Amino acid sequence: MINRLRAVVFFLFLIPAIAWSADNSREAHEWLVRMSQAGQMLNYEGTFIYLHNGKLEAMHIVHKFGDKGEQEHLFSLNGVAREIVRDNSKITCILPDDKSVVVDRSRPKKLFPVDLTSKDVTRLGQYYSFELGETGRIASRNTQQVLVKPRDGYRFGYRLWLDKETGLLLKSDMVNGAGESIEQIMFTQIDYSAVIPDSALKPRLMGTQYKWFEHEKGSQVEMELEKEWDVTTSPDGFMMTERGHRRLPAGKMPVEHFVYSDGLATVSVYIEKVEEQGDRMHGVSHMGAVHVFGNTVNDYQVTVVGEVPAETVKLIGNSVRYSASD
Amino acid sequence: MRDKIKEQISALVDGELDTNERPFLIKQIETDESLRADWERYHLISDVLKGQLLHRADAGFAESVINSIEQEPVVTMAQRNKLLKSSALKYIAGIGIAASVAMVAVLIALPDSPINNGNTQQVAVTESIAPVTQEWVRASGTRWDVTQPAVESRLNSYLVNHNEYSNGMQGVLPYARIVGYDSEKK
Repeated sequence: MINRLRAVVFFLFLIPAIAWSADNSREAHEWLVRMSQAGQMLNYEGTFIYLHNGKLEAMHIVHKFGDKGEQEHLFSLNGVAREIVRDNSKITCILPDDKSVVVDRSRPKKLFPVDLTSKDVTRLGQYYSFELGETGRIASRNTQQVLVKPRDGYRFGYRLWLDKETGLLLKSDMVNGAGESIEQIMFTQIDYSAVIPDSALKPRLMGTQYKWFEHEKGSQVEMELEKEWDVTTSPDGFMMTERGHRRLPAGKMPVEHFVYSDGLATVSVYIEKVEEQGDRMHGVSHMGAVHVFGNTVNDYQVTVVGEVPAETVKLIGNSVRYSASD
Repeated sequence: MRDKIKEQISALVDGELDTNERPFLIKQIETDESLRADWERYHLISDVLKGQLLHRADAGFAESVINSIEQEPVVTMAQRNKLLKSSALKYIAGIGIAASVAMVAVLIALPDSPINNGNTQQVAVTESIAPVTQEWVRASGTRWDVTQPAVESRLNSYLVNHNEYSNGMQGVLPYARIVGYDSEKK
């Protein structure tokens, strides 16, 4: 009897705990939806720092949302004055150290799934948990922290600090399975000014002797698929979201491209003919949280790129198969 | 017709064009802005394929070229004025000028340039390109821990492309990675 009473009492305590957890997760979710919209639709200008591999960088960003859609200008405040100008149609990277300008097509950013009852969100919940964290202050703004924790070792987690008023992501911390920070970004100053002049969205530096790498007009059209390549294994939850041939700005040959996503993390698989053996890449390399894995299959270079742990790019990269057309 | 010329330019860039076809082609490249752009682009393609995307000539190169031209008022000055007139202020046109000016300048700069012994310019151009390309310096900065320049530039172009497919979860992070590149010097 006493045992039963204990069980009932215990259960009574459990109900609010479960309810709280569900509420907390739901609220965390709503914050992420807000964050995702804020990142696209706000006008803002700010300075942030970027920390990775023990290195620190300062950058400035101007973001505008208006009749021309999203326009963005990002440039480095120290070291080489690299710049990125992005709008709805293209992304232009100005790289003074290479004396080059790389222009690629841009794509509208995917928003975080808004409908919390959607199957996308249910799917996300299988691979990540979402929690509200503490409130704090970043760049003189009050913030709400949201924690995104992976449920396995094939993806990274995030600690996000969002502006309480606007929802904008002011600090982000990508964490590995051991809870260690891999990449961090933090605004030190942010200004949501109403008007952003077009001049603020123009490149600051442009040497006339720079080399341009740009798509030729005709190559904008995706070419017909050859169904010869297959990615046979991917970690649970990663599903193919896109597949096609791309012609990348610096390349002459089209590249076969697969995109895999678990709803948060994205992995790209690029397959390209590389004749010169010395120009092939094997094994894992990384830049901050982005890991790449290279492998050769039938004289083709397979490269997997993604902001995921090394295991994930390795697993996917080793599973690429070529099935000769019969 | 146009395609034929493009093929010839491609052959010129690869050093595979017949010597007797060179003078006419180079004349055309000199006078036609869009052919100059093609010539430039074929070089880039060739460079990328050879993994020599990084550091070609240093920043002062084009300027020093212009200076040399100013000190050389004969044919080259007229050539330059003509080019400047015809090609307004467009970026690409600017590159065109730099490129054609560079062609001329290499002629001036080379002590053994055939222009001095009355030979044709064209030979000088094709031959003079080689020493420049051989002097390419690989940037010391590398953000991927790979050693081959070809691999590095391929990874960079993948990264730029990949960023466009990742979702907005990361905010400004994807672009910060590209802009933050030069801190990775080893």
